[in-house]
Amino acid sequence: MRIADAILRRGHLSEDALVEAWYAGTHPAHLDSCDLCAERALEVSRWLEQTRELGVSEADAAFPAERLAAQQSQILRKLEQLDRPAKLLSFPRVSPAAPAQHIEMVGHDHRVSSRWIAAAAAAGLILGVIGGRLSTWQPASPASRAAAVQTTPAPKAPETWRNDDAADLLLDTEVGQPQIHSLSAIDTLTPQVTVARASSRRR
Amino acid sequence: MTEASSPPLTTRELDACVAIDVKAHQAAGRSDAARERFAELVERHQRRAARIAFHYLREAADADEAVQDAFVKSYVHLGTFREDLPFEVWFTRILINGCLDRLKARRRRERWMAPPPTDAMGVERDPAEYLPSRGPSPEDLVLLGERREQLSVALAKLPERQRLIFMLSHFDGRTSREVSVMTGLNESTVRVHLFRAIRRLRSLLAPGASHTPSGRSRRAHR
Repeated sequence: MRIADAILRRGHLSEDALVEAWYAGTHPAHLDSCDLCAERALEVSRWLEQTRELGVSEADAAFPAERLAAQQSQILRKLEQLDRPAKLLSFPRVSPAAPAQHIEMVGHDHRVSSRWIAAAAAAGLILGVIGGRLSTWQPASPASRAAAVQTTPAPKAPETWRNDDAADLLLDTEVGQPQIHSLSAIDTLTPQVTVARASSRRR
Repeated sequence: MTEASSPPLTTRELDACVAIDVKAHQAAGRSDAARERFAELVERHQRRAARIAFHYLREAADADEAVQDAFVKSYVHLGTFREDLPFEVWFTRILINGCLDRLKARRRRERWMAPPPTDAMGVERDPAEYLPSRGPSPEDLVLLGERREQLSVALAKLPERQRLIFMLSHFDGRTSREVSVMTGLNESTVRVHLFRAIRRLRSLLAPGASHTPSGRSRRAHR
């Protein structure tokens, strides 16, 4: 029995003493001789038991067995991640030093896309050629055929000169016929094209 | 000649054996074996850890994360564990420190965030209430929920230290000495805090006492 209980409470047990006895699992001798304290002890122990049960059941309701199992697997997964060394992710750009497998994987995607581009380009080219042909081609109708007959023939293209000498000769002939008498003196002084070319050839 | 049967190992001895094994596996680089052995410790202490964290944090999701973090920390720092101390005491200390950090973070967060949802009575709704619980009838469930709520409100009114000591002593069944080691407080201080907590709770939960919303809820209503 505590000294304070003996002096101040005339031997009756305090609430703290009753609580302490409940936690320690002991039975103070005073309880056998005092009905009042025995009743108080009973009330205190009932309250403590109910409170404990309430608190524990509340926590257990919040954490049912399924949740605990999930929690355990989460913990083990976290530990596994801790133990596993960090994984390095390679940069997506293909470098000559990259592993062959990586190149093959990235190259495969690239090849597929380039194939599609080539096929699309070829199809576009073919369609363009056919479209061009179709747009210029016109079916020959009787009306257009008659119009073609009535049209005057196109003027002949000037004859192409076989060589330069013939052209020079023609030029001389044309130029060599003075039409204005006052200019004939100047004409005689001017060398003929054919003569000038012949002299240059001789040189 | 009969063989003397050895007495069964106590939880403390079992824990010490497992901890030694895990440390040996870790040192040898046998991670799989270390984890497998550590899973035994997780299984053995998981429920009581969840109870402590739940009563401390009052939120099931937060408590779940706190328990997970505590086990991961204890696995990582198992090298610092001394076998002369019970594993559960060492582990509970890690758990309590984690819970305290979470409480501080939550208080910081609550200053900036909108108040949590409350029911018609203005009492904060606990996510744990939404979880399915086993009860014989809806009426019993309602009554049980009310009593739990009353206890929860009363616990929330206790000073932090008293609440921690009450939870460890009462819900977890720790002795004053064990609580003293877990919390770093003097054994007599632990006892004083426990008696004060019980006196306060008894007055708060007395039939005539009025039950107002918890401090957390009042904060939210400001």
